[in-house]
Amino acid sequence: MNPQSQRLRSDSAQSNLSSTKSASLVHEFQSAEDLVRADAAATQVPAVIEQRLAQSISQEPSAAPKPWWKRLLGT
Amino acid sequence: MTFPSCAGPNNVQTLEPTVESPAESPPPLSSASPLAEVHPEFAAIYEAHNRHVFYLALRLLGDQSQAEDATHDVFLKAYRNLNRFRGDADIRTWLYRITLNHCSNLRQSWHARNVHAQSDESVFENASGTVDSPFRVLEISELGGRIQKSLDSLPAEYRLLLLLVADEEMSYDQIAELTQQTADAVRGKLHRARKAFGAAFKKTA
Repeated sequence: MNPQSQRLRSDSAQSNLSSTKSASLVHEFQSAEDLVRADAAATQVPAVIEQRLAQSISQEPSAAPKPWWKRLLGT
Repeated sequence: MTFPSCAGPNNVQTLEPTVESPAESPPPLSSASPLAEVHPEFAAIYEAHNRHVFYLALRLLGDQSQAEDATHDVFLKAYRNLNRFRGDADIRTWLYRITLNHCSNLRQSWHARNVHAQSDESVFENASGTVDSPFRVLEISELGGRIQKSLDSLPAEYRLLLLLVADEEMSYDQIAELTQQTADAVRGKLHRARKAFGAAFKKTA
């Protein structure tokens, strides 16, 4: 095979590889909302919030039952 | 919220959100859930809505630890006022209302101490971005920072509308009710908000 054409083929293969490499890293979003949704999906809620909340709620006074007349009137 | 990715044409990855309905069918609670041990019914509400409340607080406040505190406080307020929730509004809308009030109070006190300049909304009216052009992102890990920067540069109302409309469970009518304006006004402002966001996002590249 002609060494010149072999080098061309090799260059072309190299170029295809690098374009695939960079293209595979590109993420495309059609709108600002899609972008925000992807960010929201990637955002983790720290577990510590639930632990703190459980602790706070366990320290809350239990709600007093409604008097009978309030339940009757539906207020 | 789940956002599966699928490879689009030309090796460009397109992320397409899917619709879910956490309000109707909250995911099963794990037995290790600390909140479920204290209050199983409220734990189901937390499980269904905590991601949305946290994300809204995070992007409105722009600070992870403030958003953690805000999410805790919002759900604690919701717990204390659960008997006042009459069910005539969607529970997500109700939780968002508490979140907006809470974050607004936090931001007002912070701004009063730290911010002296006013943003000029007319700058954003003439933003050169186009609504139709897609957003291309190379590094997903940098997405959060770029979005925060872009949102921070927008007027507060545009920022809020974009965040609310990104929640697929929120209708224009619900957003209008939350932001105290008509659905038509929401649509008009959203158009400008998208444009301004597009221009701001490109600057963060």
